[in-house]
Amino acid sequence: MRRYLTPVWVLGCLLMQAVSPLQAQHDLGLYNMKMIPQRMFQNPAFIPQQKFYLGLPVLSGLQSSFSVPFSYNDLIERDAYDSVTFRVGNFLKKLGNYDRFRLYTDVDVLTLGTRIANGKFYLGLSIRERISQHIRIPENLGNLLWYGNAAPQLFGRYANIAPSVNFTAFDEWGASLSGYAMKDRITWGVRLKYLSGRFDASTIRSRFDVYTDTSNYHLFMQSDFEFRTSGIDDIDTYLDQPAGRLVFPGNHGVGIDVGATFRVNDHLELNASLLDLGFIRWKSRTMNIISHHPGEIFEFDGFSLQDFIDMLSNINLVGQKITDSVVDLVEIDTVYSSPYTSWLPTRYNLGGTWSFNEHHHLNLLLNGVSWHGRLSPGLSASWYYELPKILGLMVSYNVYDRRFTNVGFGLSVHAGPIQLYALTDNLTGLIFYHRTRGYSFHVGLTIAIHDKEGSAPAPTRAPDPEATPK
Amino acid sequence: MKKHIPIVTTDFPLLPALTRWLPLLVLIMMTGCRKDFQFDKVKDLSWNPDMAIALVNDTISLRKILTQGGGERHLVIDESGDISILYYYNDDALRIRPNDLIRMVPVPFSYSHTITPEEQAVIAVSDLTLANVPVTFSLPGTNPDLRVDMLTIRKGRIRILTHHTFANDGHLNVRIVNATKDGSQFSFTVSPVVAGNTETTVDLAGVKFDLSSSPNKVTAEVGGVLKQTQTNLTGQQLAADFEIRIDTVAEFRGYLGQHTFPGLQDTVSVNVFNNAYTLGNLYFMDPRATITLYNSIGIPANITIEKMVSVNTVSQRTLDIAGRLGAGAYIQVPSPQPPPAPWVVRSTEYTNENTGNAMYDFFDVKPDHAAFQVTAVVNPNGPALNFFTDTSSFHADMRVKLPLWGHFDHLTYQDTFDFSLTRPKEIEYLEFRTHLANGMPVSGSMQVYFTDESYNRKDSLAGNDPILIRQAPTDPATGLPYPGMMGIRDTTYILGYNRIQNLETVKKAIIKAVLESPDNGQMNVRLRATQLINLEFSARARLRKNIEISH
Repeated sequence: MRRYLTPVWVLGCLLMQAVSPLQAQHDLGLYNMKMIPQRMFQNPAFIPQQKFYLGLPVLSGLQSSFSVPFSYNDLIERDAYDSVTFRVGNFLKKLGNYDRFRLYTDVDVLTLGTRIANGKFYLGLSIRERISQHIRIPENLGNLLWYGNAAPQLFGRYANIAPSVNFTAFDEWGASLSGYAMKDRITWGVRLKYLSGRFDASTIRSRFDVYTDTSNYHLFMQSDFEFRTSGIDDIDTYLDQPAGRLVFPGNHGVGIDVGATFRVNDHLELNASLLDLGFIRWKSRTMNIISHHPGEIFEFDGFSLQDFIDMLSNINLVGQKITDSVVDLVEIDTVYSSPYTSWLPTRYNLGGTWSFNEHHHLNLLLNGVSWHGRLSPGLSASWYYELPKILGLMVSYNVYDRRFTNVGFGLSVHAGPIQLYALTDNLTGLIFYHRTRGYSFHVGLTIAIHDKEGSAPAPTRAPDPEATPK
Repeated sequence: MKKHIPIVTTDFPLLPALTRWLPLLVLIMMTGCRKDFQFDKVKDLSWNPDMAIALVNDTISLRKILTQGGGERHLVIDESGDISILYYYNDDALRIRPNDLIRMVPVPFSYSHTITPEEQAVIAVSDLTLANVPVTFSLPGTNPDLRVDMLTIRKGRIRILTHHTFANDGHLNVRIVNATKDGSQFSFTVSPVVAGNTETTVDLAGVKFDLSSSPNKVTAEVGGVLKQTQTNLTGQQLAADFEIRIDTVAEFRGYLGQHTFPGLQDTVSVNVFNNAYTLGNLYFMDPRATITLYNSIGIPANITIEKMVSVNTVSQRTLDIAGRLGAGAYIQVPSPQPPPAPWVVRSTEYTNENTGNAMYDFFDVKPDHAAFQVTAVVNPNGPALNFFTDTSSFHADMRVKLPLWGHFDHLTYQDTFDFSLTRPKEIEYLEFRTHLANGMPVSGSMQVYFTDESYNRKDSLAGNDPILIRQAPTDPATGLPYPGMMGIRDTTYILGYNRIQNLETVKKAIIKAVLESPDNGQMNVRLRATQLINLEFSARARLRKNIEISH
């Protein structure tokens, strides 16, 4: 036992070093919930235990996770009389530690899968609504608005105050095929996906530097940003479109998921998957916002004397006029009907499972999301308990979004053909929501049918040659 | 046979506890949640930003300063950039119009004729032509010396009042022998013959009288035709009274007589400095005045400057220097040669040298108004050939030029503008910085006063430490700043919370700047249009503002 645990420990330590800062998509727990067929969406090589499953429309899978820079307690202070104070300063401090607002939501509209070819392959079909959002609000934008440009955080310093918004919402129509190889020591899987984009906001470049000269208070600005959007500019008329246009807005894309598992021996299995490698070509209702003079430095050095004197007739409006004048310096071009391509947030999973026996499994998972040139890793270590065909329980320790206190929990219960599952990567966050900076949950109801008692099960695992008595 | 489900018993002992307490736990969480998301008692936020911003960055040339008040028409800038301030009287200050010189008296003449038996005999069988009767009369003017050799009427008429004793279909013919219209002999008819009083008017516009052979004398011929009638007209009478009235003349040749135009005067407001220099002392090295007369009327004239007065309405000082202009007080303007009449231009310039420093005294008053009065005498030497058209004129430009070259002290500029700070409590601290780079050879001190509506002083920006404007280092030999050198001054003023609160009732701000040339106002300097002053004002403020959340 020890000879196996030592390399696992070493690997775990190395992973802990490698994944800082850890900012990954949540839903790490599902990866190793072996009883839940929907874990195929985490790795198409994870062939379900059931010979057939049907996800009830909408109910079969609802996954949502978000993380923000602050917790309830970070932002809100409530005194004995229930008076509420917004702790803006504390909020900005938290923003300094972590400035991302991330949201992932997947809704399974329809999922089904079945063994085919006498269990040699597994075929899956799915329709899912998916939303991914990464918003970055730099601390210095908050500092500028709240503390002013002469605050120590900004005075005489270059500060990028440009937020970055990446948001995509699309429908995914997928067909997967999984199978076995090397006498079932290897499973493989691939899912091909047609994508129909609904909304998108992509930040290609996002730079807006502000500098206040401490000697003369001149304001220097340098902007270089490009935002591309589809379906957002005229969202108020979105529902006025014909029904066919609502389902297929004309933003077509393709994607692929691939995965594989390799059973080293009876105890150790390694697995990996690459998900959402794909793109969407956005053609419908596009609007791009681009800085007119990218990289050019603008200086606000004051008004003419006459304009200033004119402003003094109502000095309370001086602030507004200064703001208007500064904003006017930054010229923005708006381009309509310009198609563009956006890549999906691509996810990577690399994991290993140590199975003590049929019931107890120890899992380690390194997860990552790559989007708009940024890799956000996460780490999960979990213990999974399974009563075959009846119950699956999972307790996990997860590290992501620079949070190191995430204890996850998962449960799947079979009652006849009905399987109910619920899991979270941050159980304490759901309970002690005052203190958490994010949540994640995944629930679903699936019709999942196992092999009948006594019938030949699918070849799920080949016998370990070393374990075979000589 | 019932299926054994082991989870409850052995494999997962926590589950029974969870199933028992989970509903209670969820209930507690839900209760807590509901309270946590009630925000009906949210405290206002106190926003305390520290802001720093450049307020003014302006480079102002002397040209801009002097023209901001709309005074550019009072500036003359030569090629080297030297500036002169120009006071001038508009063209109507002294203008003699041709029709001011000729006033015609209405001229009457009459015609009458009685039908004789012989004429009656003719009428009974045929039409009767009445012989032309010549009538000669003069065209007199209000000036008895007026001599008209040629005259074209711009506006005039002949009024004919007939009072015949019978009626007939015939008519009267009238022909002005020495008048033409459009190149043809000028004549008209009055018809028909009507018994009793009848009035007819004939327009004389465009009628040209050529009286060169007999000046002022006009000859008219009156005749007519009576139609055949069986009515006995013997003893009946034709009678008509004529009156020629000439209102304005389009063209004239002759002699207009000697006229004197006394008391031609004008007053001009001088607004280049507004009241900026009323409180200081200034000495212009080379002030000068020029009177230029333009004559396209064919008439000689003599001009006498009777008054040249500078008026300072603030100090109530006035000074008349007309008596010190010497020979320059008299200007002879000859007649142009006809025709076409070119302009005759005569200019006389007054300087300190030719007026015994009268020009210096004139401007030492620091006039905000300047007035003058002249007398003009035309044809001062008696009869001459005069001519004009109605586009001719005799007028004067009177200009005073002040090259900005001299020395001055306590030259005070003051301006008032509206200023309102309605929420001073929101400003906790205000720091005001100035950076002044002065390229002019003048120094000064500046202060901003804050007053209420009644100009009661509430505070001042700089307190007892006015904002200094350093002069650019200046070459005493030329009076010009050394090239590329500027006088630089940085100052910081701080208004604390209490002082800011005192500004709540402020409605006006008064900028007062006191300027002087180097060496305590004794060095002569030249001000040029290209000289600059760079102003940089910036402010840093800490605000204190309550942001209401709950409303």
